[in-house]
Amino acid sequence: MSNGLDVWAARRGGAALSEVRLVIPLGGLGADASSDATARLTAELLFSEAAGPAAAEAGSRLAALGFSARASAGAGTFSVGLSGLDDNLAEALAIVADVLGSTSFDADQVAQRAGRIAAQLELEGADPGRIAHDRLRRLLFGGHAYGRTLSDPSAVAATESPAADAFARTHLVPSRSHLVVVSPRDATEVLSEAESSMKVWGRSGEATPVPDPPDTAPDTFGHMLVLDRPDSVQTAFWFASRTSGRGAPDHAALTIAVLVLQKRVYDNIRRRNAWSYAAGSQLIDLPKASYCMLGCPVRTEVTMPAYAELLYEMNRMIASPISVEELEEAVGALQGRTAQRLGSRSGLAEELCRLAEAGSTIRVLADETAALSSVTADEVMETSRRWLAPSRTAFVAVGKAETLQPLLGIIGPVRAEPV
Amino acid sequence: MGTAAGITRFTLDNGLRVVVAEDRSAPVVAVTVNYDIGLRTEREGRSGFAHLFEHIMFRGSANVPDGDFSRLTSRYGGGGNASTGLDQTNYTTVLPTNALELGLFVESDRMGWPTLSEEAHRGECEVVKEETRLRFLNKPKTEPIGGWWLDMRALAFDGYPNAHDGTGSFEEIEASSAAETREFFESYYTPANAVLSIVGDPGDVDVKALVEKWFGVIPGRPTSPIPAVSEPPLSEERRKVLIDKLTPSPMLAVGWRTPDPVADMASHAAAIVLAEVLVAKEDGLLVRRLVSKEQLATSVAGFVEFFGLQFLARDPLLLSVTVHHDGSDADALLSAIDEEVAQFVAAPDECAVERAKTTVLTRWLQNIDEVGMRSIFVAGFELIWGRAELLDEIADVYRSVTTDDVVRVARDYLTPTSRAVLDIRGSK
Repeated sequence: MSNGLDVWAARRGGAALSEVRLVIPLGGLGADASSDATARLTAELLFSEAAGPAAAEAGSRLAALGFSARASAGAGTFSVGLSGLDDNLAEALAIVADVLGSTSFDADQVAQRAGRIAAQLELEGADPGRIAHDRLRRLLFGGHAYGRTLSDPSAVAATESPAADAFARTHLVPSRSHLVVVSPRDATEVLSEAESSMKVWGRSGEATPVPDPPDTAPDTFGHMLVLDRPDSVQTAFWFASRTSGRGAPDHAALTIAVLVLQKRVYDNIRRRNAWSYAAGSQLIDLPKASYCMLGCPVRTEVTMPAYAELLYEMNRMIASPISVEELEEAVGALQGRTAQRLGSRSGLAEELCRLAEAGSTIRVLADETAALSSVTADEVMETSRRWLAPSRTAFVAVGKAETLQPLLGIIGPVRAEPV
Repeated sequence: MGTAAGITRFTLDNGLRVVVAEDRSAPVVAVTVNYDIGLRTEREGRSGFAHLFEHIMFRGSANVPDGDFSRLTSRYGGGGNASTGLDQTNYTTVLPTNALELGLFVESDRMGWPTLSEEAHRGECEVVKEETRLRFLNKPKTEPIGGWWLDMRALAFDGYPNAHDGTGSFEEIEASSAAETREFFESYYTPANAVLSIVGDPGDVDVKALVEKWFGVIPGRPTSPIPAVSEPPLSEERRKVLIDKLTPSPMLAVGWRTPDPVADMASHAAAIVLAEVLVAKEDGLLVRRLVSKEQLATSVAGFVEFFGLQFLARDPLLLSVTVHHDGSDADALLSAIDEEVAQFVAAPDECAVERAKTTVLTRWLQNIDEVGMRSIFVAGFELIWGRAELLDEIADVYRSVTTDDVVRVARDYLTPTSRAVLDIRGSK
């Protein structure tokens, strides 16, 4: 668009619903607690009366049109998700564009609400899975914007309206941001409508892509970090390692490796040993980095044998090729998952948004699906050695340090910190 | 919309009801079996059994060895899940269109001949305990779908079916046996106690013939009676204080009965709209009063049971509101809630009702966007109402809700004398 906004439109037939994703890169913002708090607060207040007259009405107007809007900030981006009745899409987009371009934060409102948001963040930060994920991200990405998933409640509570205003002026800009719209109507028509609605978003300046993250510090690898949570009745076990990203030559083999590892962990930890309800791994692709996360929550008493079995499964991936059956099953599963994901509006919108952020094209989806079929078991093993070995993995366990530290220390180096 | 080519239905000789809802907008198909047995139909002394059994159903059948269910379906690009609700347990597999027969084969095999081994039983006893720890015991009770909900039902109801903890007491789960799983299967997992739905693009196959081929050979047998779950509403407020070490700050939860969804669907829909009127972000009556105006609370939320599966459970159900606060007096919060409800009854804000209706409608359409969810609703509607067509009609039910309907529900159901109140205090 003339204001620099990159717009994608896709048709998905069926119900008269639209899904919209807007992603605004924030550069390196969000790496420190203060800038992250400002971004988070701005996101939470964007569609409230705290953000000015346009925003005050936006919530009611959108609801009347059958739309819900939610804003979020993290991992170097500011995002807006919008979903609702397709008949009113143009008007809903215009409302969002108006809000984005005209925020004016009220000092009293911000002061009142910041504390409430901080209270919600405290509840989020009490979830052991989220605690583990946040710490792993910090271990993998250090002081980069990717190194934080939980906002600091006290930093949010201390954020004032001038900071939110400055943030919005500087960063909520259309140029180099990405808008994806999925609608049951013809994509050309929707594209034209989206462009017409979003042109009112007229802030100057350019969104800055997130910078490349630093390499993970070597002393992060291979050590177990226990985050002490004395009242835990279960250990939240999570491991993570940096990997190559989408578009890398070994990406297809990597996705297969991660899925096979997930299934092996599930079969071992859950099905055979019944130590966990949810055991597995996933590959997470951010615009400038990718990482594999593996984990399971297990009851405190079996944390040590579970750790040993998890290491066994990771080592099995690097020691010998997977079986033909495992390879075929993984390829079928991954191809099927892509089809299912793209079969819903929200899944399609999310997928297109990731492509837009990465500067890719939709052809990538077809290429990735096709590439899976030509991966060999040896390639999966090589990729596992490159990215999934315990020696290049960070380990976190959230639970009772008093119990965990001595037991896990039998297997390898352990250090403990408070949550 | 969800049933572009309409519904076809038939019943097999063994009593299995089958509903097919074609939608060829994407080359995927969902196979769901809903059994008319859920948390509320467990017998005393065996809390959590329905959910435990759901787990065991994934542990092998006559022609699908333990572990192969997911291996087979995922190999062909599919994926499945199951959930145990208040009154129904559903098993859903979503597959590429060309793998429909595989879905029918695996579902029929476990409907007819689940292995139900001792090993699977013992293993899943441990797994469901870990699930309970994960979802409820190892995190604050005050999370949106946290343990507070279980405590609320224990307080709001007297009868065992509604009041007991459906996740299961660990002692009762450990005391159960593989023989009891066989008995449970024989009693309730009968073809006549189930609906099979096939939703999406079935491809160019004779669906009825395939269903007959795989499910028609399952012998019919009688279903044991399902216990009645109805009970009278509360005649006075009940209140309980809970201390939760994992909760960082306090929360008040209030639960009221809703209109019977089966006997009075329109009023139940009005209750769902009423919940939105009360708790809509920024605009909800309780949000404006408790959060914005008087700053007695940090946030307000609420819903009508059952976690996005509206209209798939029978009476009695609750409309619950949760109020996160920083130490406000419970009576002050309750007085404010009562005043807002009374003011709404006396002078309803019609714009607020219309906005709430639109929000609820949109949420419903989003909920059934995914083919697996559509298949759950198709099977569930057929099971309870005999009308899978409700998938397309619920939208009109919401559109038809009037302000008078919402006012009537608020006046008759959200009274101070017929509610349960949980005062959850945290670690600070």
